[in-house]
Order: sequence, then structure tokens, then C-alpha cells
Amino acid sequence: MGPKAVSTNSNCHALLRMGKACSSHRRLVLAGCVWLILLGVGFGMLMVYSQTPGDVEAPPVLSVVDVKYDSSAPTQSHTLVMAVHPRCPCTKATMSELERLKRHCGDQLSCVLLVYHPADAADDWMDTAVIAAAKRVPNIVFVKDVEGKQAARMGAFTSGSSVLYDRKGEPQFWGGITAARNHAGDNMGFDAIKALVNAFETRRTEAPVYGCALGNGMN
Amino acid sequence: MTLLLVGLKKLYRDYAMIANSNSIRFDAPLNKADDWVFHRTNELVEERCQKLYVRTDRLFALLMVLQWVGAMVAAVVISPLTWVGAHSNIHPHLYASIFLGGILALGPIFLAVFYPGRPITRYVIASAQMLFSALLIHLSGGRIETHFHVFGSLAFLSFYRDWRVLVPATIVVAVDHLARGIFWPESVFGVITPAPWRAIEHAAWVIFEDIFLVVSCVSSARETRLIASNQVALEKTNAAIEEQVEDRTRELSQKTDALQNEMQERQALEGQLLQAQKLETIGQLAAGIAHEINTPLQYISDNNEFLRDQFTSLLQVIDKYAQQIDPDAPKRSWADRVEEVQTTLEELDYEFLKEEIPQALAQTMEGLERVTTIVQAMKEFSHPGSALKEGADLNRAIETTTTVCRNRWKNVAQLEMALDPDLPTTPCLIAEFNQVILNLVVNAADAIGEKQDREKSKQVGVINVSTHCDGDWVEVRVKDTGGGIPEKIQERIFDPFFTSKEVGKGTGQGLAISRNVIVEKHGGDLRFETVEGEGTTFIIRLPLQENESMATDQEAA
Repeated sequence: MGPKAVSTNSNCHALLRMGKACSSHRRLVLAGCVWLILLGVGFGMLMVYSQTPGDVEAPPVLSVVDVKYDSSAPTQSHTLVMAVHPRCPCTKATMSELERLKRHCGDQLSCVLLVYHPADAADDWMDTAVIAAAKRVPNIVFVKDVEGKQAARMGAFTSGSSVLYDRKGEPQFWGGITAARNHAGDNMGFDAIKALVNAFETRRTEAPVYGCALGNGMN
Repeated sequence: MTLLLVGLKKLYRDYAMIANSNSIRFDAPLNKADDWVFHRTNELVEERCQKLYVRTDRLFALLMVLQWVGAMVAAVVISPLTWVGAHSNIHPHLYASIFLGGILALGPIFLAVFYPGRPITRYVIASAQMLFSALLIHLSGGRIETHFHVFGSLAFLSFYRDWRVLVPATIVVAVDHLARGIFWPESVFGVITPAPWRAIEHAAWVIFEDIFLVVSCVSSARETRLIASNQVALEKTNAAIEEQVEDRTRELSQKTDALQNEMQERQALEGQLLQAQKLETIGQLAAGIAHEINTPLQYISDNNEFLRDQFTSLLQVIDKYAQQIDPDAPKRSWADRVEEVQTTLEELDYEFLKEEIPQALAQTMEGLERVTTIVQAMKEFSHPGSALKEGADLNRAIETTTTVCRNRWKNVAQLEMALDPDLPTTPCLIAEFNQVILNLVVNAADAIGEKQDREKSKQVGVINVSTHCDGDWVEVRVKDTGGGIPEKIQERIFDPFFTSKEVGKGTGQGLAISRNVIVEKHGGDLRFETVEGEGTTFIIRLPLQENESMATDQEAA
């Protein structure tokens, strides 16, 4: 009886240990699955947020927009009018793309920046990294857009919304020049503008725009 | 073309090496010794790898924390707020850095803390590390500089020296690019319809780095194997040396035992030799002692004969007196009686008897005392003594010994004694000490005798024996006026069987035994001072306090 009892006991202990190990292993696998799901959800949400464009409408002709600015620069073949929120972090990427665009297009492209400005904003409203980056772009014209009214007329409700007008003031492209929120690098808008300015392309095109809402309409 | 072939060959070799280096193992062992080396090497390699994995897991756990904090800092600096006109809210990137970064970091940290060194831990760490790259790239707005995080992470992962860790990391990058390429191509390639090879191009650059890292990992693994192999060889050598040392120690122990036995035998032989020399000395002294005893016995005998003769004369005188007072004798006058007595006294020379008989008696007494002294000295000298040291009166021993050997020195030298009366009792083996004094005194007498023979002189020399106490030591000096010891033999005089005496006169054992007795058995000192032509002084120094090692040896003996 004795040895048998011992044997049974040790078997029980072995089974118990095995059971505990299995249970621990199962818990670990379960935790790993939960961890993976959480990561998937988190990255998915982040991706969705980054890839969700802001509102943009087909713009009217340039004369309707009635951009008031000091046009001392020589007449260009194309004019890019861009509405920006000076405090939008995503627009910093737009500024770097704009700078790159100017480098590619040179004198063929004139730029007008409609800087969103609340009516009751403090004096330092425009002392931001976005404006500092914009100032590095050559031959750019800044227009103080109080409450974003001019941008709204242009159909731009999101920071970074750009419209490319040809010499006749007809909109040839509208949308953003970044691939995602605050994401510099190759993108569809950039390529479209470059092609239009260099006359490689004549079709009207549009691209999604990523940035903060200007708070002047749809958003 | 040749270069390309060589390159491909090398690449194939590396690939084969990688394929065989999963567990960094060698070929199967051939015999038992190889088997031990094989298993021990594997054991060491696994031990080292395990330590490395655990250490690197901890490093990555720390890195995860730092990256998490870094992500939050980046979000705060780059995109703290999102705006709707003049109103702002916390930017989703900040939430992402806190929560997504937290989830990303805590998984690997948990595994590194609770399951360090396990394969699953480093695979999860590798995957999480690459996802952290994706998060940081995202938070930084896709800055090209942040993409270096991917390559830095791969390099960091190679700290594991396990090329398999690079596989999940590369898969994560590839899947990320593939998924984005399919669902949001613009986020990766900037265009909606990228060329299919662009995803491959992105992954290829990662694989490009992987190749170098894999080769590096394999090379490190081989080095680890080599180091372990060297260590095993060292351990093997150490074990062999230890075994050899054990063998040698055992042999040494056996030899020590044998030496001890030999020493005991030697000590026994020395004892026997000492006894033999003593007997030899006694034998040599026997004739002299017999002569010493014979001289007093001779005059005791003569005196006894003289007294016997004179006793008859005295009886005649007494008879004469008795006749004078005999009542039965014929009556004579007082004058006749006086005349008769005087005649008898004159005839017997009574005045002579009155003077000589007391002298004869005194001489006889002196002779008997002399014999008694010699016999007592002989008795004391020839006593075998105790095996253990006992407190002894050295002055008495010296007197005894010089008495025994008197016949050896009395014809050539005068013995002067300057014995310290306050000399304390000294622990010593008295029989052996007697033998030493005898040897030195006899040597002194022989030296004086040789000098006399050499110089054909009859001038009696001097042997001076003195004792005195010097602190914890007793010093005995035996000084002679012999010819001294020539310089060329000074170093050898204590050597066994060395003698400067004529053949048959000395055995060459005297001084050797003396030194052994004083130095080895008493822990003392025996030295000499000599001036050639003037004489030699032998100085014995014996400790008053017996030292412990000597006592132990003595007890063991």
C-alpha cells in the first residue's frame, strides 16, 4: 500500500504541477493576445486619425476669393493660395512640403498664405513654429485672415488646404500637400501641383488635406 | 565575374553557418572524454548565452521605459494640442504616446522581469521595439531622421547575439509596410498607386542590415563557443593538474611517512651508536681506570702489610707491659722492669711506629676514598640515563667525567676547573652530556699530547673546564692549550667519520655525536674557537628552558 500511495501522491503532484504550468502558460498566451489586440486597436486608431482628411470643398475662381495682398512680385504662371492655422502642429509638415515645392517650381509659382487669426487673438498669436517655417519659404505673401473668412470663401476649412490657380485665376488643384497628419514626404498633392505648374498635367485634381480645423465653417 | 562568384560562395558559406548555428553546437562526440568536453562546452555556452539574454532583456526593459518617456516628450514638444479655430484640445498623439506607448512598453517589461532569458521574451521585445519605431516615426511626423530608430533597434537587438531575434523584428517591419502599402499606400510611399517593388525595396534595406547583423551574431556565437571551448580545455587541464597534485601529495605523504620511519630508525641507530661509543670509551678507559684504581690499591695493600707487621711489634710491646703487671711473675725491681720495657721499645723502634702507623692509616683511608670516587664516577658515567631530559647538575657531571678519564689527561695536562657554584639545574640527557664532556676532554688531552710530541716538549699543558649561566642558557667551555685546529679541516671536524688523529686512535664519531647530542637532542649549540698553535675552546650552550618542538619530539621519541 505504502509505495502505491507514494506513487499516487507523486503522480498527483506531477499532474498538479503540470496543471499549474498549463494554467500559467494559458494565462500568458491570453495576456499576449490581449496585448496584441490592444496594440492593433491603438495603432489602428492612430492610423485612422492620421489618415482622416479634413473638410475641403471645390474652390471658386480666384476673383471670387478676393485675396487681398500686396502683389509686388512679378506675375507668375501659377498662384498657390494656402489657408493655415498658425498653431496646427500638422501644418509644420505642410510648410516643409511647401518649401520643397517652391524649390521645385521656382518662379513659376507664387504663394499666398491665408493665416487664420481669431478676432480677439493676442498679439503673439502668429509667433509660432508654423509661421517661422513659412517665413523660410522664399517669396511668400502672408495675409491675415480674420476668423478664416477668406479661407471659407475659398472652400478651405482645414489648415493646410491649398488651391492652385492658373494664370487665368481658375482653380487647377485643391487639397493638401501632405500624405497624412504632420507627415512630411512624398505625397499626391505635391506631385499634382508640381505636374500642373510644369505643364506636365492639365487636368484638375484634388487631394485630401490633413490638419486642424480652421473653425470657420464645416468643422 | 570572379568577384561575384567569390562573393556568392562566401554568402553561401555564411548561410550554411547560420543554418547550423541555431544552438551553437559542435558535431557529436566520438568517445567518453570528447563526450565530457562536448557536454561541458554546451553547458558553458548555454550558461553564457542565458546570462547574455537575461542581461539584454533587462537592458531592453530599461530602453522601453526610456522610449515610452521619449514618446511622451516628443508628443508634448511636436504636437501638444489640436485646434479648432481659436479653441484647443489635447492632441491625440499625446494620448497615443501615453497609452499606446504604455501598452507597447509594458508587455516586454513584464516579460523581461518575470520571464527573463526566455525565447518568447526576446521575440516579443524585438517585435515591440520595431513597433516603437513605428510609433516614434508617427509622432515625429514621419521625419526621416526618426527612421534611423529602425536600424538602431536592429543593431541593438543584435546584442542578443541570436540572429533569430532579427526575424520577428524584420517581419514586423515588413508586415507594417505591406499593410500600409495595401491599405494606406500614400502613408508610406506618398502615392496612391505605388509600384509593387517599393514595398520590397523598403524591406530590402532592413534585410540588408540584417545580413550584417546575422553574420555578426553568428561570428559572436562562434567566439562564445570558442571561449567556452578554451575554458573547458582549461578546466580539463586544471582537473588534470589537481589530480596530479593529489597523486604527488599522496606520494609525498608516503615518502614523508617513510622518512619519518627512517628518522626513527636513525634515531634508534644513533642511540645505539652513542651507547656503542660509550662502551668503546669505557673499554678504552678501562686500562687507565684500572691503573687509577690499582695505584691506591697498591699502597693500600703495602700499608696494610706494613700495619700487619707493625701490629705484631705492637703486640710484643703490649705483651711486655702485660708481663710487668703479672702477679705470678717472679718479683723484680722497678728499675729492671723499666729497663726491660725500654729495651723492648728500642728494639721495636717504637718512635717509628708511633709516627708511621697513623700515616699509613691515613694513606689507606685516602686510597680507599680515591677508589670509591673512581668507582662512583664509573658508576655514574656508565649509567644509561633516562630517555627524557631531567634537571641535572652539570658541574657534578663534569667532575665525574673528568675523574673517569683522568688517566687520559693526567700525564699531559693539568686540569683546571672553574665551575659556577650557582649554576642552575639544567634539563638534559645526562648520559649523553657526559659522553660529550668526555669526548671534548679526551680530544683536548690528545691535542696537548700531539703538540708535545710534535714539539718534543715535556711541558704539561692545561685543560680548563668552566661553566657559567648566560641568561636562559648554560655555557660550558672546554679549553686546551693544544695545537689548535688547522683552518683547512675546520669545516669538517663535525662530519661523521672524520678524524685528524692517527689510524686506530680515533673513530671520527666523537664530535659528530657530540654535535648531534647538543644541537639535535638538546636544541643547543656546539661551536669552537681556535688559534692554530695556541689551542682550542669548545663552547657548549644548553637552553635552560626546553622549547616546545623539542619537547614534542622527545615525547614522540
